[in-house]
Amino acid sequence: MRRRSFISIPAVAAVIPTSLPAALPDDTLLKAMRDELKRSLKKLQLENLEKPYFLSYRIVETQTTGASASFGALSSSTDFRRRILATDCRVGSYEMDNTNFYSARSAMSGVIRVQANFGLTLPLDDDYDEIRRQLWLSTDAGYKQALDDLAKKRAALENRTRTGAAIADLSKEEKTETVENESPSLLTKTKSETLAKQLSALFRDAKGIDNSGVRIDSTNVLTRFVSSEGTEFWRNAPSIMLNWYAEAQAADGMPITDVESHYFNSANEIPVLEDLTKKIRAFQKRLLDLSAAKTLTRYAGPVIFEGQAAAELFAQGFATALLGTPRIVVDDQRFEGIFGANTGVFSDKISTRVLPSHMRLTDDPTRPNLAGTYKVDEDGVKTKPTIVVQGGILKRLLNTRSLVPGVTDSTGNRRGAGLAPSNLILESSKAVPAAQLKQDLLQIVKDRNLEFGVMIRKIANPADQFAKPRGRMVIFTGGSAGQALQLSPVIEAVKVFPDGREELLRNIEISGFNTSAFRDLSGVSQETITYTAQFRNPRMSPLMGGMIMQGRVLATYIVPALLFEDVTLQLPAGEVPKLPFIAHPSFA
Amino acid sequence: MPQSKTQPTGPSTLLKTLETEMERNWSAFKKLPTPPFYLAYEITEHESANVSGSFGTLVSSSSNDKTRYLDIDLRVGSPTLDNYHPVRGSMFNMLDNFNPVTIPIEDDPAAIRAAIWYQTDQRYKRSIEQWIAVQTNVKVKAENTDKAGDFSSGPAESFVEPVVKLTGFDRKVWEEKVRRYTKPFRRFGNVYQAEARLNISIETRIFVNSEGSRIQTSQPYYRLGITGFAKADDGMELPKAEYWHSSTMEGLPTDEVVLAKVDQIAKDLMKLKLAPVMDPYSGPAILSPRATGVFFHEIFGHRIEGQRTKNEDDGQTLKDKVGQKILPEFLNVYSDPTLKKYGSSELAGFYRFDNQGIKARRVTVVEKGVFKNYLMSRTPIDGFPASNGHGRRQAGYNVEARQSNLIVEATETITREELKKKLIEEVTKAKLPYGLFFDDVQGGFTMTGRQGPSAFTVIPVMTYRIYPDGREELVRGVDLIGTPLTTFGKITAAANDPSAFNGICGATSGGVPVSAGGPSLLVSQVEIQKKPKSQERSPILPPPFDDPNIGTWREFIFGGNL
Repeated sequence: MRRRSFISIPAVAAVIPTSLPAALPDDTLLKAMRDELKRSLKKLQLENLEKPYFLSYRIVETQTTGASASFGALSSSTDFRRRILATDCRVGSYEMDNTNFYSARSAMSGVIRVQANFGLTLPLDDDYDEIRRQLWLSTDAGYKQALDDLAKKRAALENRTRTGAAIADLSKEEKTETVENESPSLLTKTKSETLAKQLSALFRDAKGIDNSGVRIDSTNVLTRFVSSEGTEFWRNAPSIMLNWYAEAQAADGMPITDVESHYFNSANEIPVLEDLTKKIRAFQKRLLDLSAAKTLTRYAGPVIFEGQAAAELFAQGFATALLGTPRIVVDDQRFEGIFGANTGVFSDKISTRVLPSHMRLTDDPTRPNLAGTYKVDEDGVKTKPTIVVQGGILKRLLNTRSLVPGVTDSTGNRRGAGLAPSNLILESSKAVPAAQLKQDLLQIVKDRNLEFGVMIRKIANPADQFAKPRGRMVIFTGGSAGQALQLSPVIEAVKVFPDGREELLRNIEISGFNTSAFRDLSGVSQETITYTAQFRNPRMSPLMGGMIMQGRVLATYIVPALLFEDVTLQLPAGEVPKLPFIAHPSFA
Repeated sequence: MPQSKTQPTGPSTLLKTLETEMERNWSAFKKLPTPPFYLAYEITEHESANVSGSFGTLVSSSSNDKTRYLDIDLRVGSPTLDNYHPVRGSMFNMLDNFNPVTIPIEDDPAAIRAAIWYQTDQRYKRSIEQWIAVQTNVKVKAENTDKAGDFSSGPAESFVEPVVKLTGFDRKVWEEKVRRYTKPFRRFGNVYQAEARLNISIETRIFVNSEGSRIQTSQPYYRLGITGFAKADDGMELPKAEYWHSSTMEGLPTDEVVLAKVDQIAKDLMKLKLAPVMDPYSGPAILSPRATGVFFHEIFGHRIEGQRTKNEDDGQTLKDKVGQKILPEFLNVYSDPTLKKYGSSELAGFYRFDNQGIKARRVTVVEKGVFKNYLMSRTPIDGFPASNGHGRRQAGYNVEARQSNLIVEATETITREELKKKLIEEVTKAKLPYGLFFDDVQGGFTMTGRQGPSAFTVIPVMTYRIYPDGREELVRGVDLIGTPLTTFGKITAAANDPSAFNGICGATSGGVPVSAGGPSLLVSQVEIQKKPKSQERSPILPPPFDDPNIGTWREFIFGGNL
């Protein structure tokens, strides 16, 4: 049972009744998977070449209903169900197999020419014979591709000496049998349509907002997994996303856009219309206030990231650095630069200080009632808390069964299309009340003889940017310095003057910020936010075996407000679109 | 039971809303320093249903899907030179060619007007940028060969057709049908893909422009396809398909007809597995009506799309051939989007108005072998200053001159048997071992630009060798290739068996429904080359299920007891 917490709402969750079967269900698809897996392991061999040493099938069944609306009218409505099969067939051994390898000369394989680990559409009917036919063809494609890749990988390594200790391609993990059976309670298409229309109609009287919309998407992902190691799982993963976006323009033409996303585990968790209306009204007011706010040409000095901004900065600026991606063997040196740099920002930082010594960071998929809570990961690896940073020192990276230097096991972080954190909890033994943190900021302002300090309260989420249709050109130049992170634009910030007065700011971007800035954090608050957002891995490798699209990957961040002594903020560079030539028809 | 119904005649809410916003924006634009000289809005609504099945099971099913796209044609400058003028030397012109914009799918005037207003503002700003770039580009680049200007005026048209609504479509019935249609393929372990797919789409287009046109058309498309895919032992991929098009549900074939075709596809796939591979060949051949249609659509049809010749990089194969003989005297070619049926076939290339508000009309392209006319959009070319109703696009794309229903007509015909006799005469005269008969084709493609050879490829599926004794032998592994003008000159006879086929043509302005038809043709010399062959071998393991029929496919095609 999990709860996807609602942004800015205390984590008091409605408990959803669930039924957890004691054993894996009697299921036609699971039977077909087991039977074809058994046959393949016993008989699949091409001439005198190697047999598979590992084989797994994953069938991802997605049921989605959704609607989007704008200005009170429906824009789209969805209701579909699909099944995708991904086959992971490995030849060689745990120590070295066909994976973690890229060949520019690889193509799709098998009679039906598929990339077996990317997925094959399956029938919606529980037809044993037909499911087995597709498993047969997918296994055949995966096996042939695996043989081809392993031969190429061995050839590529023939004339090279691998430096460092040997790293296994697949970790050995305990066999698991798991059922995660939340009874999905999703919104129907009609209810989604009604709610999207009702909420989007609230923008009909929002003069000054040029473009807006509301989207609701209810998805249940049912995953069936069977592997040759005996690991099996059957999991329902329901998720409802509700978001709204709006766009305005400041008097100088600068676009002001914002998206607000909320995630729920069940339809019962969605707030009542009255509460949602209040949220949208607050959202509108903020956007209109922002469009009338002042800009900041350039600022260098202390900044507090609080609330959503702290969590989002942590997600974009730190969490992505924790992902341990294996080094990829390539058969063409020209690709070495691309994949050699793909091993993660912190790959060489183990045992070094990455946070202040009073801080600890834990990835905990076992913590109940959060969006990143699950019993086993997509490899079927049983989850456990992983202490990533202790006393400010980086202890280990998050990884899947594809290993990275220094570890021999998975942290159970294979999620969705690849590697992702679950619930990241950032804690400090020296946290201070938020009011004190603000005083600390003002003390630095005073010490440096600055006119003001800055507090940032909202940063755009990269995945949310896809929630809105293409609008006006977004002025965003991103980080400037060589190793700087490409952080999303700041949505909401304020100047804080020594007398405590605040003044709203708009159109700010964070310049030249990089992950090492967290090491020198000047302070953190006792108060934390529990923030849920879609996780996007900027270094997603196309080579993670068995990856297929299977819904959004949500991660939860429990993060305090963060005070940095030196952050550079600037007005985005670039051309600004002119104001509309003709007035909005509803507000003319 | 009726499967679709129409709403009462009269302008829809959508049309009235478009008119209102057109009027408001047009009068406001006039006050700007750089006012547009032309503005058009087109809303394309698709109400659709799709059901597909494979090997007796359901794969996907949806109904009541609705989308609405808004296309804005906004022109600044003048008809002589405007912002749509091709900017030469620019690598990314195509980015302006595709700009899909969705709008609310409900008839809510306030919501639709808000969307139109927002998009019009964006479009106007982009048009100004384009216009500035065009003015400089024409100065720094060599003078354009074509002097005909960028846009032709059109009459103000007023036409309102009732909007067709998809009602009464029984999804469950069709889910059962696609299962039934694909179940027979289950007995073949060596048919690797088999699909039945029903696509229903009702396309309603609402068009208004600053010239005063207001047009509302609504056209249903029902398309059923059966596809199968096998492989020969040498790895060659063997696809086979059959498609039916209709403007009504009742026009689709009965279960008996579909199942007979499924049986035929399965037989053909098995026969193809056993068929010998052809070596390259040059000699006489007969094109079936279907092959004639594909051949003319690809090789001829794309070269009579007038707007292409405006592009300085186009091969302009027929540019100087107007008034000259390019085909045998016994052939006429016309493009007629007003034609609903050809023989017993409904035509997918039917429409009443094109996407620029110009009334559809029949265009004589070739008369007695002499090239007469290009297919024209509102982009004029030298010698052809006006549109003839062939400006078409898929929603989201810029309009280009495109084909509709391209019909090849023979004024002198003989029977199919006589055509075969003529082929054998040519074979004997040339002392060749056999001639060829292209019975079924999968499709084709052609290159019309100057950067590559002006060549074509037609991809046959069912090709037969015809021996001097009249015997026919199925072969596989060939593509029909050639260059257009040479091949046109070698058409020597036509049969009295015309028919047409339907398809979706994908080109610069997106995918548009088209038809092509004509008779069987004898071509005195064609050239074929080996087709690309998959290097993937057949599955290592046999199929997983114990089907007693597996392995008996030879009996199936040769009259066994299945």
